[in-house]
Amino acid sequence: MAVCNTEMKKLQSCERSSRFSAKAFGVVLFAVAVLAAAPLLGLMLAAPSLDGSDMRAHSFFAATVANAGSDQTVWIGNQTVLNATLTTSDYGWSELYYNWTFDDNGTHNRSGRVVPYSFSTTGIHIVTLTVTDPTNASSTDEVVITVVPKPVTGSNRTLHEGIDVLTITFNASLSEPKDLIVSYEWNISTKAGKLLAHLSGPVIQYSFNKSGNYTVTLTVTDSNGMAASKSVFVRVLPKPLFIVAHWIFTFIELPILLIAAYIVIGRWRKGSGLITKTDVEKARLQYKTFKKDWKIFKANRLGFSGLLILFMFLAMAIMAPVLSTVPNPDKHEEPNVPDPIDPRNLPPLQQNPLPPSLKKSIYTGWTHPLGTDHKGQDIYSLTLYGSRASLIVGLIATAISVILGALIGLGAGYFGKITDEVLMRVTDFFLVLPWFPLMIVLMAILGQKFFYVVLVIGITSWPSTARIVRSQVLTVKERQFIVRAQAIGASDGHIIKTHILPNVLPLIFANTVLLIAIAIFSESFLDFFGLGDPNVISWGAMLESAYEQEAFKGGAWWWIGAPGVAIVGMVLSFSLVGYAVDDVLNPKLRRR
Amino acid sequence: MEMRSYMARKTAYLAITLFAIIAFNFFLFRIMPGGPENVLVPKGSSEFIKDAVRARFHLNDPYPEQFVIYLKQVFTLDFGISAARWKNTNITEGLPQPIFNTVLLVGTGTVLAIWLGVSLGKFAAWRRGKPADTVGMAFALTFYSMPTFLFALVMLMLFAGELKWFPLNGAYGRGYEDMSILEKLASRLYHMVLPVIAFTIEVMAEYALIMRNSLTDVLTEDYIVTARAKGLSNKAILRDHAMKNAMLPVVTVAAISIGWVLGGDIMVELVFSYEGLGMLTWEAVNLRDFPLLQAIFLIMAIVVLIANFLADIIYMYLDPRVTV
Repeated sequence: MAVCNTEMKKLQSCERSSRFSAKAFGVVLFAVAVLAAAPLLGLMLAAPSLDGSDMRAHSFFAATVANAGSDQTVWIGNQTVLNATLTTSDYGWSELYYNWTFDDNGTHNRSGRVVPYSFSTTGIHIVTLTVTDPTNASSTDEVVITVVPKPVTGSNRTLHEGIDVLTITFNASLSEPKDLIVSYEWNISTKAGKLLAHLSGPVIQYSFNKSGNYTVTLTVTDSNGMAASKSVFVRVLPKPLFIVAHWIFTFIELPILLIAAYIVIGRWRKGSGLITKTDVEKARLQYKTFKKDWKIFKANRLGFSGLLILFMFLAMAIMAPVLSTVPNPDKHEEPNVPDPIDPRNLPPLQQNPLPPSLKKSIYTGWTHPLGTDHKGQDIYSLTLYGSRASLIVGLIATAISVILGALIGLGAGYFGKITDEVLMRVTDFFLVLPWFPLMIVLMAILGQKFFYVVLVIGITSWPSTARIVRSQVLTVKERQFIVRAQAIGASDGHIIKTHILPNVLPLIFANTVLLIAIAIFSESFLDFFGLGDPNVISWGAMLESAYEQEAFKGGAWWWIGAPGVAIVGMVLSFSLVGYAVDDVLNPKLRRR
Repeated sequence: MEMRSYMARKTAYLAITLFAIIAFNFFLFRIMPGGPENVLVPKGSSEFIKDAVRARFHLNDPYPEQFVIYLKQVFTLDFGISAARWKNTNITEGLPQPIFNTVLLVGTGTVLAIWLGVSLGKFAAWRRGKPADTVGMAFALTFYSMPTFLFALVMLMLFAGELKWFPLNGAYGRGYEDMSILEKLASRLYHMVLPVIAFTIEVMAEYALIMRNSLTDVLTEDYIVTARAKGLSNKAILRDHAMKNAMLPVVTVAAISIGWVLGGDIMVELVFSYEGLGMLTWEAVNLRDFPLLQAIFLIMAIVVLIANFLADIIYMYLDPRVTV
């Protein structure tokens, strides 16, 4: 808050230097006197000091030296504290008399060692401190208090492009002293320091039409010629990218709609009905194989129990609002209702997590069957809601990774030669990159958004899929029906679509299920590392907060246990289902 | 002759991939949103440091020139200035200590994990279908599905928080610099026990699963039946006939899973506040010290690359059938 006008600064420093030279002169004189007198004094005082007489009587050089503290600059109306504690004296401070003289609207006197005072006029005020000791000797010192007008600009603001109105009104009419201010100057500049606009007047309007960080500086000048300025920061956040804001639509709903439209239009152009007899026959055959596979799958006890656990998690995710013991966060209309899931509105009731209990908590008024965390958020409900994040990340990241991997594997395996060589070198390269550190680096650069978590996990886990797809394509490609299709002049696109894909995709299905497990694993890792989206409830983030609040020291086992069991349960069940599906689809493995 | 050309080819691939990794590392930190200025120059630092970083990374030059300079710097082990972790000093000076700590942890852990994992896998495969197999594999699968940090957290809560047998954090005790060599060793060992156990059990689970699957496969082969018909003892069959072939996938997977191992190492170091590369990564991310993060990522990638290369060579000696 270093507010100062240049003219005054010069004045002050000039005054200070003159005072300084006077002081310095005194010090030199004093030193010379002491040096000259020391041997003499030593001789004189040797005898009396032996009989232990009062030492204070001899120190007649050290008088009381007043010190009024350092110069200050204050806004008008704000209290300034004058402090004389640096005064040096041989007497105790309670024996001294301190008197302050102010020249503010006439002369005022105040006494005391520490004196608060509010100035009523702006300008440069010189305050004189007089310290009188019991022997009536006195010492004075001066301090310069610069009183400047007080600019009022309002608080810092954050605006969202596309949501908020970007024209802001700044009102400085509450600045003091109200009647004496002669000019209001506004400088609007970017954070880098580029001046955008210069406006004047007590109330102004400005439109921030680009995202970025801005500094708005108000300078007020009053009739005494005193000026002061204050800055306020305006942050305009950019409009989020359409893909980021509507990523579920972009990555799931839109592709499904496009594929459906493609199929319907294709059928319609051929002139056949939407469901033909061949479709019915195909569906019947598929159902038959499915029934056979299901029988084998059901015989695999581990896989079957894994599937049951998965259904349990799915139910948890869908019915979280019904199952949770605390109110549903989605249904809150009033902003001030305490909410055990959204920490923003929680009352600050306790620092320690509550242990599990089936009774209603006297602190929060809700039941916490698995206890709470340090903010009083219900662990049971958080665990329920956390399954949503894990499932979404697991499924969508895997979809991204399988699509990427399948495309690259298909290209490499089907076209062979140079395409194969290049694509496989690229795949090997990404296979060699350590993917945990790679995910960390990407997330650190991109920023903490849920969408990026999904994307980063998706694009770091495709190489293994690409390898598997390529090897499958290589075996399918040599089969007779492909050669025949090529012989009758089928195009590459047609062969891939109707002959290769249907034969390859089921085989990589098992790998896909295992990838989901790894994606969930990675998501919890990123959250624990502190790189997840802070606004999404997830198990990794719960564990991170438990670790940060040192739950392991206090023995809050429920805080680590509940999300921990959930992660292990979900990853384990996906792995078990994956191995079981592998068992069904790859009969070669079945003899094990 | 054949072996030599195989080696030459592998070495050529190694060189190309090494170059690609350096290029990837260079461009990754430059094409990201906000540009290199935003990523490499620390926010909120003084103009002096900003200018120093800009000069260090030659951000005012065109990209090709920057890349040549970066290549030169990497080959002279000059990773530039740390933006926040070691304020304004050279990264290369601060790296050896964390690298040493990590090598100690990962080295001990991996050796133990391979030995224990292979033993457990062998034990389970030989008793296929029996209760011992089920229990062993359930154990391995559970730890394989458990994020390393979770297991480490539970160990920390139990043995350091509740029972207070082991220290809560650090790679060595207070006043380490003034200790005698024996005390230093004791302090390190005492602090390493929990991290090494957590790391070993997590990595071990993977080796046990691979070993068990690979060995059950081998045990159904015809030559095992032949060996049995010859009247060899179970021990001889397992040691001389089965294990030699079953070890091959373990070697391959050991190489591929080094990326996974590094992830486990980062988590373990994070939970136990063990001052190694993983902890350093976390600090670099939290402080937004991108030059340091870049250096760490490069080191990790190169280590994994070299480990893969070595695994290829070892594999070739183990399995002479490998065609070039």
